[in-house]
Amino acid sequence: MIKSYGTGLNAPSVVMLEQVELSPAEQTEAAARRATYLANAAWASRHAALIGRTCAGRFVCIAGGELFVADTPAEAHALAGTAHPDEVGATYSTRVPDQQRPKIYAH
Amino acid sequence: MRINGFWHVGPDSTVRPIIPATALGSDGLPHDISLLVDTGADRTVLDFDTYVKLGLATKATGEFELEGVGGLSRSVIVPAQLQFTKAEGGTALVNIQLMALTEATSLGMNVLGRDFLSLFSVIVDRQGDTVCLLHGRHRYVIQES
Repeated sequence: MIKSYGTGLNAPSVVMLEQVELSPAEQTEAAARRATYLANAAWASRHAALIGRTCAGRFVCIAGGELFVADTPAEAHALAGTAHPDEVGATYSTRVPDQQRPKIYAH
Repeated sequence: MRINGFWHVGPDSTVRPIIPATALGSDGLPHDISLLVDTGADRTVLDFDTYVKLGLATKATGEFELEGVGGLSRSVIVPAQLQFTKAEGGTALVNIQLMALTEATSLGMNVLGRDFLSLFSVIVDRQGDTVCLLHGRHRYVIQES
């Protein structure tokens, strides 16, 4: 659960929901990026146990079927982007928990 | 409208319901991200990793506190647009004021809160391996077998 405090935060945050049609080129690009992103996310899932065991407390970024690990998110993204520049925008990244325990979102 | 998600195994080997989306970074380039379907969250919140990935520090408007089980965490408000792929084709755009956590030890996952989820019927079905959001012409039916 997440509660928000602060002036104006209790006001609705969603301004607008609209449905649009992307151009054919935009659709192709978005579909390709999504497919790559899902492949990277699926790779992370298949290797979840390894990532959890070896990367605790660090930031990981998956691109091109490779795992990039660093102490900061910027560094992890940079490593992946350098190795796979064609996958910028489609990498899967996350911070690996320090310890394995049940989570109630939020923190 | 139907927006599909999936059950995703996280680095702690726990399975959680996820909706994929596209967010624009401060450089104007699209980045795909995953958001946890969290009906317990008042607001949609981005974790620190995504905050850095999208370069949101340049778009933040003020600092605020978020409260969770672990206590208070600092965050910023960022106006953003999320793009969702519709199962029937086409794209849904949502303009939303996101919260973004600015601390590395917080959350660890982007959270889709009720500020957004209240627009939809939310299906989180582990037994049926289904995660989806329904709006408009797409509806659900509960039947007794």
